[in-house]
Amino acid sequence: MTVSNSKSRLISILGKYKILIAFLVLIIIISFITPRFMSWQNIINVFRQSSIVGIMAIGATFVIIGGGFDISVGSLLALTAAMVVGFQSSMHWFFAVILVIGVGAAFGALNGFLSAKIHIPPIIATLGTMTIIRGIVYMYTGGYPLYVDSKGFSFIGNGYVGPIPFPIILLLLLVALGQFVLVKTRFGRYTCAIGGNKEAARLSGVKVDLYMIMTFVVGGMMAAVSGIVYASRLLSVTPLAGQGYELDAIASAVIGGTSVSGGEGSVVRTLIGALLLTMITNAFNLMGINLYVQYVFKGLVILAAVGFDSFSKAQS
Amino acid sequence: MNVKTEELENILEIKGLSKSFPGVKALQEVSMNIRLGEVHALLGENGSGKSTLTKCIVGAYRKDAGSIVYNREEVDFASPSESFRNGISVIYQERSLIPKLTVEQNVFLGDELSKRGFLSQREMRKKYNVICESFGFRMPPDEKIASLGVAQQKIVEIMKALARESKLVIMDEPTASLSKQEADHLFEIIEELRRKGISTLYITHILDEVFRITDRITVLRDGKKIATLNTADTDMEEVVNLMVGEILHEDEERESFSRYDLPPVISVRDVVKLPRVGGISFDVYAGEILGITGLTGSGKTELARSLFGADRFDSGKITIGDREVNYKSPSEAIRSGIALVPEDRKTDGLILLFEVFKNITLPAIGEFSSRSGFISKYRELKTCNEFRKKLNIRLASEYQQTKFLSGGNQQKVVISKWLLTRPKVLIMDESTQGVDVKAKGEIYSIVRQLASTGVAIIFISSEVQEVHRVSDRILVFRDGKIAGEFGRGTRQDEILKTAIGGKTKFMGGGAR
Repeated sequence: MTVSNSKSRLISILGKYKILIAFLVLIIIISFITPRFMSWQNIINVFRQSSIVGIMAIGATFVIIGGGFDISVGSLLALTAAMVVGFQSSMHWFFAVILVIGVGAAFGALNGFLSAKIHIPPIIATLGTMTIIRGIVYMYTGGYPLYVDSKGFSFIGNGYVGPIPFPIILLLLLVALGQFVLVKTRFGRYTCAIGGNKEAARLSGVKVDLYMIMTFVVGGMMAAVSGIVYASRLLSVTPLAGQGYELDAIASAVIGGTSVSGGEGSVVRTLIGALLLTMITNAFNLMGINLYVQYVFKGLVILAAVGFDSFSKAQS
Repeated sequence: MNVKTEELENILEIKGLSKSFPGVKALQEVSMNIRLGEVHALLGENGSGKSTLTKCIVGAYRKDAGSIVYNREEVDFASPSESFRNGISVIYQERSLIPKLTVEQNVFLGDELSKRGFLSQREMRKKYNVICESFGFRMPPDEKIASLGVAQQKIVEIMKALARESKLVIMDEPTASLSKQEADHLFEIIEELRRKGISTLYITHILDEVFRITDRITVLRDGKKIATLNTADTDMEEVVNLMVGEILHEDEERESFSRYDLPPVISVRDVVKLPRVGGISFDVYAGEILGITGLTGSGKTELARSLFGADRFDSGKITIGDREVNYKSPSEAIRSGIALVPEDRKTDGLILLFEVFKNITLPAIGEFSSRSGFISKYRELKTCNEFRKKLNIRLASEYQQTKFLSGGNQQKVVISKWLLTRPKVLIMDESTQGVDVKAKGEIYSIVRQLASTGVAIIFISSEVQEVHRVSDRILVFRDGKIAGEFGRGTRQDEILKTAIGGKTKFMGGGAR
């Protein structure tokens, strides 16, 4: 009894930290092959390149844990990035930022409403809004890139606090906040409950529709923040911005062990998932391997991460 | 009724069949046989072992001991699909057809006729027509299952069995959702099966049907075979007595905590929830344990869900204290002091992948949050441990995932979570289903203990025995109405008779 208990505990610990273990193993392998990998400059690079998708992935983690799915966040990044640039012609950048986060929240609420209240399967609901939002981006930009020139606004994407780029600090702060909300607040607990068993959650007095919509609102707000960082980093936005980012965000969450069927996940592990994805590209670059191969490799990582989980679940 | 001669061959012979689950002996050395072409009733209260027996026959469970001889050969089926291929089919209570396929596609599903790898539509249509003709079915082959009524779907399932040339058809409460006319039609089909030499094992609670269509009756009780009788040689009285068993006249002097001197805690007036609940009225008092029993489909669960706001009811009045309520959601019901231990703890009661303590604190998570809104896990674990001791929940740790607990311990977790909300009314729906004997006893004493603190308890169960044992007062539901009300000291068989009195007006005789 105790033997099998400690054994099963070991397995569950391995399962829980497998993403961290894989992460460390990969780091060790890559740094043996390319010593440059572990340089301070490169580490900072990996983190900075992860920041935009990483922030978006925090939102995706909430949505997926709550049993939803949101593929509209890539388009939403483009819209919020375009708007935060465009708005600055008529207002201070700070108000533009606040306003744009509101826009993200509003589209998140729309996604949540369509999923929870109209009962459109989330992936389809957000497929619809994804297309709509992309259309709005084109309408708003007229199809041309937008530019902005503001020192204050530029700080968000290009500034440093001491030796560390500001986007990294923002990413880490939001990850810490997200993890805290997920574990320590009622909203976080309810999100897990709804994703774990919606009917049982409802019969336990959880307002399931409301909280499901809230997860999409978080997803939309995080997409807006990532849009702001994007716009500030490049000081320009093309209408094609953010295409495919939603898939990287979802991949980060899933590689980080977020259960695709909902109920389980962690924001910290999502961050590791995002770093892992960036690291693969980074390492391929450093090693000078054909970049096209990285897609194949990334795909394999996703399948391996999800496959391990799904298969072991089906076995038990 | 057909006269059967003794030299008829047995299609199925069961000898010394036993099956145990952790903590429960579900079947103990059951022996019985089913003759070729007979309609054989399998009777027993809930938990008597009927469904375990059928599951062992078709291979859904592996038997622990004993032998099954089918069609002269000893068999040990590994799965229901294997026994189905060999000619034993089961018509389950819940429908097992694929709604988006047509009648014909369903009938041949998994056994399509083909030529050189292509489906042979013509052959199938020919065989379909043969089945229809020889049994007198008029079922359009291209109709989608989704557009058929329940009764027609039952017939399609029987056709499916016939397409496989089944020799034994097991029917599990086939008339549960049928109207009287539809049931009559089903009986005609069973009669036709009998004429064609196909045997039927007929599982039901409705004694009228048993006396109307069966040749023999086997009664199970507590996993043992009590008797096999010729239907023609017995009557309802005898069968009920065999099902209930020794009637214990102990009626132990239980203390009653009912406060009939106070106004009722909850009043239910003419509540209708279509299609199952057709006008129910009763009161429950503080400290009272009101038992509600009745067959599956009599409206018990639907009433419970309506009281709790899980479903909206259509008409009627529910009053809590002196306030009329009509909850839009369970969260409103919980706030006014109602709690429901739902019928299916795995799908409705628990979040199985949650750690135990998270399930317990879910409905009252607000109480574990600090003023700034952060959950204190320390306090959650402390509360979890209190309940663990108080209700004797066996856990490896508070962090154990709830899905790894046994049925009884899971149910105690569900009860714990509702105790935390300090309910005025606790509704328990089939709260001892799939729970071992020891945990059952513990649940009964928890219920009594709660009543002693003034909680009004609505104890719903289709097991007459436990309702009789626990309740201060008993309502019997039949077809969505209250068919009888009994106080303490009523005999169990009287209650059972009220519950299973049948769908027809002819009590206890049927067409005999």
